[in-house]
Amino acid sequence: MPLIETAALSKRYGQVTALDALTVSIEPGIIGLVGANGAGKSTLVKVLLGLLEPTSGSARVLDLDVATEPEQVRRLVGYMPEHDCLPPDVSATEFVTHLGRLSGLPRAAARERTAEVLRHVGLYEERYRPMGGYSTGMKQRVKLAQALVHDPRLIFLDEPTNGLDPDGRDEMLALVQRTGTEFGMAVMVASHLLGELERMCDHLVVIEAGRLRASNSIAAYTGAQQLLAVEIDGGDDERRALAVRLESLGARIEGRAIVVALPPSDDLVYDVVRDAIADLGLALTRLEQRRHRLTDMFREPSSQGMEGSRV
Amino acid sequence: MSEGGGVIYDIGYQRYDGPRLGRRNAVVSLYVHGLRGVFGLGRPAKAKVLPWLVVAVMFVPMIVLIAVMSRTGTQIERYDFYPFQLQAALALFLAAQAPELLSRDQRYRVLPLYFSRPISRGDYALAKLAAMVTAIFAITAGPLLVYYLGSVATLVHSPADARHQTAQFLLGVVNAAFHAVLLGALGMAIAAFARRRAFATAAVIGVYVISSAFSGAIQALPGRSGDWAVLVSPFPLLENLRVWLLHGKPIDDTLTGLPASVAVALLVTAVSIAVLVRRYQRLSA
Repeated sequence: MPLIETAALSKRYGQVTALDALTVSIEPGIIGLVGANGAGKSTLVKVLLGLLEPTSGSARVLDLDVATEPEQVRRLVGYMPEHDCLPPDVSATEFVTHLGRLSGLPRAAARERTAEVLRHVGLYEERYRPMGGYSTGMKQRVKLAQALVHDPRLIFLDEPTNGLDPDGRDEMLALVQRTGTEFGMAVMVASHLLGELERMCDHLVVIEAGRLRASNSIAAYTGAQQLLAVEIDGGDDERRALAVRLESLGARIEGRAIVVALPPSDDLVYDVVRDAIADLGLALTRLEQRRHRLTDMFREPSSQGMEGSRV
Repeated sequence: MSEGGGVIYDIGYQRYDGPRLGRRNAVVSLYVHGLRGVFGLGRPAKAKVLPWLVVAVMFVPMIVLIAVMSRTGTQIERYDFYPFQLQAALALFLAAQAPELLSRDQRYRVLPLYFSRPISRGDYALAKLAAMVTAIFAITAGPLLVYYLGSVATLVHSPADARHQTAQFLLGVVNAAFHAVLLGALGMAIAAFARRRAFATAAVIGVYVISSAFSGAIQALPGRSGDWAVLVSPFPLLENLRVWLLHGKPIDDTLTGLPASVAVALLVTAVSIAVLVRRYQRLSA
């Protein structure tokens, strides 16, 4: 059963098309939803939550139709919006308990779950203080906690690292990843930062101008993209000679290095490279395993293969 | 990249597998939360000042009255006392607390959190309205109950007197209900349009003050030509209904009779509720 399924899903605001006939089917896991600002990420999340009505097309979440069974869908999902959504004069405990009750938890369970999720997100004594005095990091944690309080089967997180400093960012990413793996919960994270999603997701959905650009597991994106950069003493001639020699590995010259593909679990590549360098009588100065960054890939759509890609 | 591809296994975290209640439970929770919020419960002390001041203003006169009656042994019947003399306090309560219920959620953008849970937008608006109506009813009918119990306990001498007291009390309660529903619906419909609390308060007060002033000015026209103006403002309209209910006669015997007053009161209430619900159905979340 797919986690999320959309068919020709469109959303227009007047002249602006936020989602353009988006058709995608996504399996459970930690899913990254990536796209530039304004690509339609938030719109897609809101349509899937039933917060926005699509102009046309249909969507299913957890095998439930968003248009005809919105109540059932919302009982099973959690939502962490991109924007601030916390009233400043209420404590985190009171706020999260209240929202837990609204999600269907009986009173005692709501209190217990609130204590549990606030602990999970790392909020301790401060949870009894009004949220107006919280740091951005603490607010983001409360936002995540309220999305988790009713133990949903799927959570939507819209830009969860917004406004966080690098440390806070790392902590939030670790928290999201832990939530996905430890809680046994499906997660969809929308972000414009590909680097973040790359680190924690196992599936990536790329949208651009409201259209689906790609939907694949991270392994599918990066599997073929494991690279080995070889640097040698000498100039362009030497490098060219080595590149020709290593043509069978898809070698190309990138600045001072010759870059070859490094298929997973294939140590033969190292031997081939070593032998080629020895045969040509060259001096190896540097050998570096390099991950082809997803960022580069999307910047340059034609670089799926090895040819034509630059750094 | 988590192991296991699409399938995720739970390791250690305690999942919730207890009962999950539905939409009705959610609406009731929202109503109770709203009712507590109107009186500042579960909120900082600052939020409690105004509502409890109004509560004091509503209840203290009745308590004093009971004390006076029991000392002097003379009955002073005042089932019509509320809420006529306390219109200003009621208007203030509504103007301050309707935004408390509605504007905060808009201003702090809490609505997406509500609307992504198993309640509809209409549910939200109606639960909040019900909280406000209940609050107004409690502070208008509550003092009547205090008076009724006090006077029955100390001053009623005959069964006929007791019946009279009970009948007057019940009419007073009906009167309080009219106030609660009409004032609550109108005040909430207005407050729903302001994100900022101060604007909402000003708008609610403004509508009551300006329409009351307008109504008063028209009614003051010579002869009976301005009598209809009772109908254009909530407080004069409710006052007209109160006189009808508790004294069995209208202020005058022309246009502003009971049927017209009831019809206008119901119409204003219905339109207010429709406007309130529609506002929430259209609000982007």
